[in-house]
Amino acid sequence: MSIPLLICDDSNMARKQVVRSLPPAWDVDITFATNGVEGVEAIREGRGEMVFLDLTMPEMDGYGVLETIKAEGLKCMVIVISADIQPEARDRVTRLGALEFIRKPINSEKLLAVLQQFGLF
Amino acid sequence: MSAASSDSLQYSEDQRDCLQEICNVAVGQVGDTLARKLGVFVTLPIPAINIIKAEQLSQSLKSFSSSAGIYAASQLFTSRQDGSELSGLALVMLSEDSLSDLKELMPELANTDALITETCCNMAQTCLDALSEHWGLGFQSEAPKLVRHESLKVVCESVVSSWKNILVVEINYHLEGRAFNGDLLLLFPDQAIEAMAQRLDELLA
Repeated sequence: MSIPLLICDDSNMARKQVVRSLPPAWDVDITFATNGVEGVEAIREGRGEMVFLDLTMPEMDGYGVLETIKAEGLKCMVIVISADIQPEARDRVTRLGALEFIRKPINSEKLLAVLQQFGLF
Repeated sequence: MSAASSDSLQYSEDQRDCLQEICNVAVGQVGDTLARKLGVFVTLPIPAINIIKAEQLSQSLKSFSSSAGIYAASQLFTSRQDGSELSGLALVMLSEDSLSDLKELMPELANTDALITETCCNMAQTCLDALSEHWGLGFQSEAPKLVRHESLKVVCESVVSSWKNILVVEINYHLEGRAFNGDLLLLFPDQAIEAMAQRLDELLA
């Protein structure tokens, strides 16, 4: 069965980069969200068992999404993909429950390494 | 496109989105540099990117009209390729409160001028280096110069006097839990706008 995968980023180009970086053989059902509010909605609807999440976004940022997931006890695995490369940003998102942090720009090698690290692919 | 509009450069929605993402990565690198130098968490903004007519510069920039007490430094950057040369301008503007924060966070820099030029380098230089990677124009920066608040307009206008269009990238940085409010402003001329358009099309292909 396909895994519901949510890609949450305000940039169209960034969303495309993530799609291009996915392992071709990975069976996923992709939903896109362009800000945190849309992202949380999609997760509540079960469309984000796996979430690739940007941090700097309008409406609600990635931290807000992680806080909401935590507060509502939503079931999903989050990998943050962000240009915010401050060490503190990584610490904060992992404290908020994100599995891993990938620095932008994403590519297939970086993504594959993380997916394999967590036995997700 | 009609002949009348050929002087006016604008990016398509896809090009703009692509440039926004390139700028986001640069914004992140500046944030990281500031965070390491100052030991505080930097709140990352979404950069504002606009192409404006050169004559609209003064009225477009909020930063120029805000109240006194702004400390500023400018940094000219140049790219020389295939016998042609193009220059752009980076400006860093800091509020009065920003300077108090910098004094506290970089006590090793004794005087105000050094704090401003060092911060200009940390913001403008880091951002330009990150953008240059994508632009492929190899921008070389001159040393930062202090600019008095009342001279900001004049400094900008002297640089852009021969330009038709300006690509303006405005990035407003805050430090978490502090009053620091720093603007980084990058001005790129027509040739750089065109060069970036080609680069964006390559990335979008």
